[in-house]
Amino acid sequence: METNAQQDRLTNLPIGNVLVIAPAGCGKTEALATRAYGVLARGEVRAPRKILAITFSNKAKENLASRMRAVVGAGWHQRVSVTNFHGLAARVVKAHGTVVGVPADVSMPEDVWRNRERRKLGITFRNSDAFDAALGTAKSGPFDDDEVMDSIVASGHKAAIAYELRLREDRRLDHDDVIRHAARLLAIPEIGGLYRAHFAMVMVDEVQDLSLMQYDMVRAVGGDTVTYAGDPAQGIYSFAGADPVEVFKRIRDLDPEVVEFNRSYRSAPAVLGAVNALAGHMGITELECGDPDRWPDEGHVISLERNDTAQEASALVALIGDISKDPNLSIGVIGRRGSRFDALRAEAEGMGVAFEDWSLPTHVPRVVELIKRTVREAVSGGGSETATLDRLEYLCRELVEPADAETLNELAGACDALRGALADGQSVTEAVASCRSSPAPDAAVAPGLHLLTGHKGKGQEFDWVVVVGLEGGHIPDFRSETEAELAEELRVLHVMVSRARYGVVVTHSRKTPTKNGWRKAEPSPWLGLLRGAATTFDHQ
Amino acid sequence: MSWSNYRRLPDGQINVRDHLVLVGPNDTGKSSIVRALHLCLGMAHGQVAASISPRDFTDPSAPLILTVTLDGIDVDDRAAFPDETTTGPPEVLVVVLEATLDPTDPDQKVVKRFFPDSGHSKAPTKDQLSTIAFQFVPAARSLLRELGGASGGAVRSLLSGLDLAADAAALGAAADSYRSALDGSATLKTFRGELASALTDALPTPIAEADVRVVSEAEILEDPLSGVTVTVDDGGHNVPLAEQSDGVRALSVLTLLGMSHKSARIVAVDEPETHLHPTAQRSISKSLRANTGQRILVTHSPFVVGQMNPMDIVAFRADRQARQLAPGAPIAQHEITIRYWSHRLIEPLTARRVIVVEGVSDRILIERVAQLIDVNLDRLGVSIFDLDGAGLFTVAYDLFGPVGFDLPLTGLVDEDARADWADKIGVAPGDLEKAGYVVCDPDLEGVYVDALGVSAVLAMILHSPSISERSLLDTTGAATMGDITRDMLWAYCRKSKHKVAAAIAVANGITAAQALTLTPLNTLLQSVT
Repeated sequence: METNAQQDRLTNLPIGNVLVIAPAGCGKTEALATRAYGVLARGEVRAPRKILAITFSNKAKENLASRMRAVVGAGWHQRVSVTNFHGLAARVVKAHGTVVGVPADVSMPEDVWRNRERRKLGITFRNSDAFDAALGTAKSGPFDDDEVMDSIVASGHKAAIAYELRLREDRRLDHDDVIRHAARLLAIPEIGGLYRAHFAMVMVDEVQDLSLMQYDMVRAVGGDTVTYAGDPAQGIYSFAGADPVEVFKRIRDLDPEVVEFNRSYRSAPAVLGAVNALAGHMGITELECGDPDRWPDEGHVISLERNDTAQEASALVALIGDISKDPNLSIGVIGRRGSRFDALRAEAEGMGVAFEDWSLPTHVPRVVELIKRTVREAVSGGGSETATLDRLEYLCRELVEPADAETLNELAGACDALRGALADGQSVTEAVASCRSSPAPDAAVAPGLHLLTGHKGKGQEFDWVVVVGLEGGHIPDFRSETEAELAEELRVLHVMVSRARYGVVVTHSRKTPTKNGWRKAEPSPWLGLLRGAATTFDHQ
Repeated sequence: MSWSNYRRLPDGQINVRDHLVLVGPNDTGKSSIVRALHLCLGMAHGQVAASISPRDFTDPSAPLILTVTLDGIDVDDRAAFPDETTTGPPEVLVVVLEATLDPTDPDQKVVKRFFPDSGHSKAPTKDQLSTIAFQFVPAARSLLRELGGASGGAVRSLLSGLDLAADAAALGAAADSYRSALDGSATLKTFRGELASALTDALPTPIAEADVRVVSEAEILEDPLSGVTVTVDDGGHNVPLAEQSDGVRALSVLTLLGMSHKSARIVAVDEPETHLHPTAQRSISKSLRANTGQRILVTHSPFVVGQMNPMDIVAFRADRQARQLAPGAPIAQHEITIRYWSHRLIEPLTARRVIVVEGVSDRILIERVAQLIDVNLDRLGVSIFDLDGAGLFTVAYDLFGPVGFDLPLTGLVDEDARADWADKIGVAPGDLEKAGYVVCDPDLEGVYVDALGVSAVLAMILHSPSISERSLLDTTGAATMGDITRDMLWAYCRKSKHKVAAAIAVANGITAAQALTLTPLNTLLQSVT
């Protein structure tokens, strides 16, 4: 990939506070890997010190790791640690948690456990807001366990109190607890000092997603060596505590070197047209195509409209079949909520089209690969199917680093799903065989069809993106009401569209399903912007 | 460090202080301790697993556990061990090696080396091992290997610790020109052609001349100093260190190790005295101690021990029990005396029991009597330590007694020092015997003159080349030999000028039957059998 002056400047800047403003597709991941290469080549980081690169998700971690491998070389991991926030926090808590009273044998977060306890306490998606707020507020800062309990008690939310007591009784941490304890630990000079000594430079991706507590963690670990990379336009995690306005202000207060990217190396000109249509409306920089000659043509923006989601699904499966004639292409179908592509999922299953559903633990390529690799040994131990599955889970856990909380969580989720299959009368071997194997388990995005939400798609890219459901109530989500919330909904749409390299499909169904039938769906207020950039209309 | 189920050592632990000096009879565990440190801190991962064998286990059905705690953590250690460092206080790094054998097949073993307080189970990385920088020089070291350029040798590790960044361009240019000279050499071109055609005959695929290259080791290893060695001028010739005499080589190895504090922070040397004259043993120990970094020495050399601080000594007894001074031991105030004794310390420190006597003459007679009454002191592990004056008992008691190395201690003392010794031990003067000590009344000379009789003793001492009738008569003032009284003879024998000569003479002349009459010595010897 060719580079431009801004990328070269980033590579050549010595270690220090650096802010990289990198809109979607501007080669930020590549630029971070190249910066790591430059710093290492100049001898600014020497053994036993390392560079720490922090991402937000395991997928983003794999993306950056594969760029590091390509740019820095095969031995990259000796000098670079790529981790996500939870990985870093879990590592610090596992290593030093006893200093702030976290039991040495504490269990890291597991969605399976969490969801079960929530169900037992009668918490559903209908009444979870107050519950989540009571816990979330209590754990939003580097508070100790007493302060957390006081705050939950003050909220008066009985289920939240009960849940917190269950957590402690079971010696478990939730995601927020891991971050909170890590922030507390890193604020202790002796402990922060260990990691500052170890990491000679820190790079943080997606800084618009940082909460203030995470920002403080980055400062504690990185001091004045941090390269902050992000894009205010991609801030879509304020519901999870991200505070892009304040975080960007604090970074700017450090008087960093600022590097701004504005050339997209991801998207074909037509796709950029759609992205820029949204950018114009958002009041952010419009992007130039960095490498227009790379594309055979302008690319595609297809507006697809059907009477209902069933018709839409069959049209999409046909379109996906056409695209998939080139087996190297990846297609991401992205919804604001996962339920919007239920019809497509059913249609794809019916037509025998393979897909990776990013919400299913049995579709996480690394975890499936691990389970399939281990199942033979588990089965050879004999015993009941339940015992075999327990043994399988145990054997797999042994193969995962204890600090890799995200993988352990996904593994627990997958095993829970397998238990469901056992309850339906399958054997362990059958259940495992039915887990989807990725054609490329080490790639962040393998060729083929992927189903995901906009939030999960952050930092990823696909050859084709299908944004399903440009309908009011879906995009923007019906729960968003305030001006700020609606602005964030638009950023989510911008993130979805800007995942695409060569083609974008935006769909609108005039009717969407309800519990008992159909409901008329108004077009999304932003559908017109995208249709203004469309190259093809397929309306029936 | 501590060990459990390790070789033939009883489970135990020792504190390693500024340095560690391991002394003791052969086969008592000194080298096992160094090996344990090497296993935990030095060996590469694969080497650890490969070198654990069934004989490392006391009980092969139980796990072997070695634990090493490192303190004095500095910023480089923190950089290498962010998860593994325990912030404390005290700030420490704990390394554990745990090994188990499969009871049905002892060749199957599980060996784990990990940091118990790190929250992970990963083995030390290469970066981490180079930060600990433990270097081991075995007793059977190859001087050739250490001093040649081979990897793992002392010369090599010193050279690899150098930062050549400033000379990178010049060395790179030289390497390029050397490479092009090799590539352009007509002789080598012919050789490459011959080799290629010979290989083509031997291999399934043909090899062309261009496929064969003659390259320097430095180019392949991307290390400009690979293959270089060090020479020292010897009478106008540049002689490689590896080809010097044994003594020069041994000194060179240890000097280099002493210098290598940058690349090796902990250097363990098994028997540094090998091949060295006592003066060289002393000077090498001095330089090992003076350089920064921690030294672990296994030694039988009194000259090596003499250079080290007693706080750093760990003594193994024949029963493989390790002993060392407790923190805050009062010996610090006796530093000068102990240094004066230091070359005599190995034996008592590694004995099962120590008998403290006032002087050499006492030791001579006790050893002779023991021989005559068939008490084998060596086999019993009894060491007799002469003080050079009853007054130094205070120092000996602090060093060997309960506040020191805590060795079983008895002694032989003259009546005039009874009160001082009893005071030091903390008993009433009359209870000194109850505490295991034997008192000669008035002293050993008095005892043997009285027990053997004046004429028998006179006959014995006149055999001494340094005692003559004349000196006897002059000193005692007696007119004839027959006039020498018991008191005159006693006074003569106990004079410091004659004491040792008289003791040697009595020891030479005494019979087994006479030996049995020296009651205090018999009491003393019976108490240790």
